[in-house]
Amino acid sequence: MARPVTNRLQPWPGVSRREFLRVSGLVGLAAGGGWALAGCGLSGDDDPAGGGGGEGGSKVLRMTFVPVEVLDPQIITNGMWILTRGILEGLVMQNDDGTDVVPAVAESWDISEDQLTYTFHIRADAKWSNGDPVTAGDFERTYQRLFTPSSGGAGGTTLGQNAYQSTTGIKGAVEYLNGATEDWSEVGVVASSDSELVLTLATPNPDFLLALTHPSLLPLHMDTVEQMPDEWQVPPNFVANGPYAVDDFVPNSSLSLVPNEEYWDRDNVSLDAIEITQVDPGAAAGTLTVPYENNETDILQLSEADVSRFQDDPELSEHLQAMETYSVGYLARLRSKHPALDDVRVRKALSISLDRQQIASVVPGAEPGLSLPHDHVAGWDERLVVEENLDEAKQLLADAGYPDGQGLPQVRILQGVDSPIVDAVIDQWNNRLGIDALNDRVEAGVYVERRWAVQDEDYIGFYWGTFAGLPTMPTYVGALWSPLDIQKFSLPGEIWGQYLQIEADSEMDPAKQAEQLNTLLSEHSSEGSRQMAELVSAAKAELDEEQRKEMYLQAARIREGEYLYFAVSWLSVFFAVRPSVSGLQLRRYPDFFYLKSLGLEA
Amino acid sequence: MGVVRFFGQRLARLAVSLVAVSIITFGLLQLAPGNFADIQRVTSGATSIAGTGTESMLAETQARYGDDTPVVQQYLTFMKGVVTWDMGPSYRYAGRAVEDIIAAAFPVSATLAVLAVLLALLIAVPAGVFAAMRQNSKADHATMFGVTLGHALPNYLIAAFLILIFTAFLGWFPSSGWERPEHVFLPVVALALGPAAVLARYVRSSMLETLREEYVTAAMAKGGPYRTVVVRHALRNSLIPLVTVVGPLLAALMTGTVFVEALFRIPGLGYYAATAAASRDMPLLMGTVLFFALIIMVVNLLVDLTYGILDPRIRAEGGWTSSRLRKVSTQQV
Repeated sequence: MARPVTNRLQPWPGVSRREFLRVSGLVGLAAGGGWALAGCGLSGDDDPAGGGGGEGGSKVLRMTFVPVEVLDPQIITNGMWILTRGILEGLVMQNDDGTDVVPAVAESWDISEDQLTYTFHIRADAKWSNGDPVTAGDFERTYQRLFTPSSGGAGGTTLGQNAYQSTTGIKGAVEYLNGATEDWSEVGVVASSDSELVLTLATPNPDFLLALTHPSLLPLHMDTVEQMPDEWQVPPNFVANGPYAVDDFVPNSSLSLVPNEEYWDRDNVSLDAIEITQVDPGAAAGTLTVPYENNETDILQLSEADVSRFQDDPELSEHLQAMETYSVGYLARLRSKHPALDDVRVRKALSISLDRQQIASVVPGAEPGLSLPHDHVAGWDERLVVEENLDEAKQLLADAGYPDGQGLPQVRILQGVDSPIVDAVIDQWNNRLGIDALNDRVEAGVYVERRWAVQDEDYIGFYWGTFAGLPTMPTYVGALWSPLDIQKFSLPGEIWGQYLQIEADSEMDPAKQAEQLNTLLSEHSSEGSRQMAELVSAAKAELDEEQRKEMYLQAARIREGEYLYFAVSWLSVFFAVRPSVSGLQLRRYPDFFYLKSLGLEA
Repeated sequence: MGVVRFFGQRLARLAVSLVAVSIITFGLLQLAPGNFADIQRVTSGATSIAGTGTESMLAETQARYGDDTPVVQQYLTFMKGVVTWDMGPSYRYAGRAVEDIIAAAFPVSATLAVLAVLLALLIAVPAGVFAAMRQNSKADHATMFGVTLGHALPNYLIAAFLILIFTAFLGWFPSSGWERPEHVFLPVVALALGPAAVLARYVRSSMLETLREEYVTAAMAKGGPYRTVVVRHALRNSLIPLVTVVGPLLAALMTGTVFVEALFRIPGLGYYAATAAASRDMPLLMGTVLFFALIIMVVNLLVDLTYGILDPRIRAEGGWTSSRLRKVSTQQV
């Protein structure tokens, strides 16, 4: 084979192939190494965090949190729960055990006799981290952004899901948000002066002050948000009004906080910095606790698998802090063409057959879920407890035409995340009740779709979920597993199919659509679910506290008796907290604790 | 003229491939069950407060995501954004434009990839040469066993082991992060071991073939020092085919490594892409997938070009077409 002549082989004129190879290799190495060290913030210039012990006199607390996508409290993301810990401060804060509120930006408030109008007095020394005073107008502008649909432009919450909890009950808020009104004066938010904010409710809400501690109602520095709609979250642009300000933020990686020097209560903020590392517990592959055990973090929320190991370790067990939450693990009935679960006796049999004490033992800190409201919820009563009774369960199954489970299709529990509790329930149904049961673990998208769909003849069962809310009966009866939910869940499978069809018909006139849906609910929902709805509706309008409590309790009892949803376990959370950390006050709320009181001891 | 035609053909093919990738990705996303709003509500880790929005609020949410416009319209709107490099905001990382996310995260993934490939080469070339020089000896078998093991272990498992050994037991390195140079070591090693195994096997077989070439025998016969013959004549030529392996390898690593990034808390592109898929974040998923496809295609194009430069026989015989390039490369090297 003839070899090509040499002069045709030169990659570039005047450069030999050998030279080209040598030079390109060197350039590649230099570029690769230089890029790595000089680019991407890896130059080593950053001063590493001092460490939990407060080295060199600086007190730097390190803690672990889940990945933070954005720092906007008005959008449902993990970010809102870190903001409310102490970067932004609302009108009020929760007290130590989370059962009431204490003054924050508002130093006091008045409530009208009809319990509809709340007038908040903003403290004169409240300031943003850039030195601007925090005014009532800031709250009004922030809430206008919260209630403005995203199409409203820079003032809107762009594309995330709006975090506002409609049960808060601010007059006209939902209507403004869904476009039914565009007149801001119809919304119950008015800054009557720089220091006075008036919030008006549609109906009395005894939980309103606690509801104000939700992150969606935190204030934003709206001048910055409006001037820099794409950049306001990027440090140093982020303007805080809480005890800590944002120094640095890398989504999915790290968040650095420093004290807000302008904070009204700066004297009670003792740390020099807080370094937050963001770790996805689902992707930690068994290494979640390594940063803690390697002394890289001072506060870490533990997964169930790690809790037992910490409990068994003489030293680490001293670091464990447990807290019973208000979180309830529950089962909700799935709709099916098979009528078995339309029969309340079958649902009750499946619920009362469970040995909840034994089920709770499979997860650290879990307790038997005796009712949908946790027993820590104010107004809870033992009359709500679902009693275990295996004999009655078997009798109920037989009465319903399924003696020993014969004739019953396989009962499945649909779940989107693994829970050992579900396995324990399946095990008990198989072994105690003698029915065929299966764990149906699916991807999140399949889960959200399948749990509303009408299943085929051979698929009956429940979906697994967890809920937590403000620890009051109006929340646990009126908002979570709400009367409307109960009515919908009580519809037989076939009718639920019709309901979904009407709901999905975008061509239909909205008024006609609402009428048809209401007709289906009133004609086909269970009697109990309708009674519950009436009771809750009456309770909302009731101003007498004792009467109201009793009405909610009655409604809750009716709901338990429907067995459309039933509690299985009450859940706890565990934190590993280094002994040098002081001032940690765990609360039963999804943010779990505030940063303000945290300190480090030498 | 041949070069222009070659480029024209490859660029046209690249554009068609990108459109095909976009249609397949968008189509699969439409077929996938669930939507962003519902999934976000049930999976938003710390968000255990109930989302008690009214039906109309949900409808409004869907309108914002464009779920109420025809599917074709949604696709065309997004693709227009791709062309103008204005893909709009991500759903999950609300308020952050997709192109900004890519621009911020890609350099991180690319840095990780470049360092991992460099380390892989530093391991693979000596190991491959060592094994080839001692073919069928115990040393050869031991080396190949080692690299096969490296190949068999998935990088997330290697990463977990590295964290447990070097952080939990020895305490030599921080467990995770991307702020300081010492954060780089463990993820780079975790990513490099697998590719190093692939490359070492490649170097070994390529080296064995080259050692049998007549010109090597001739160099030996001339009485040159053994080391010089091996390094200057055999090794250099046997490394040329590596380009076809290293290029795609680099592209694959550059486009993000989901588990390693998540385990080491590295704000790279892989973690974004994975969470976009899981949460049905259409703009971010489409943006990252198209970007990945572009990177892989461009790197392959560069590999083909580089190969032509490095091995002149290919240009001389096959011209600038990739299929001929590969054919020639496997026959002649």
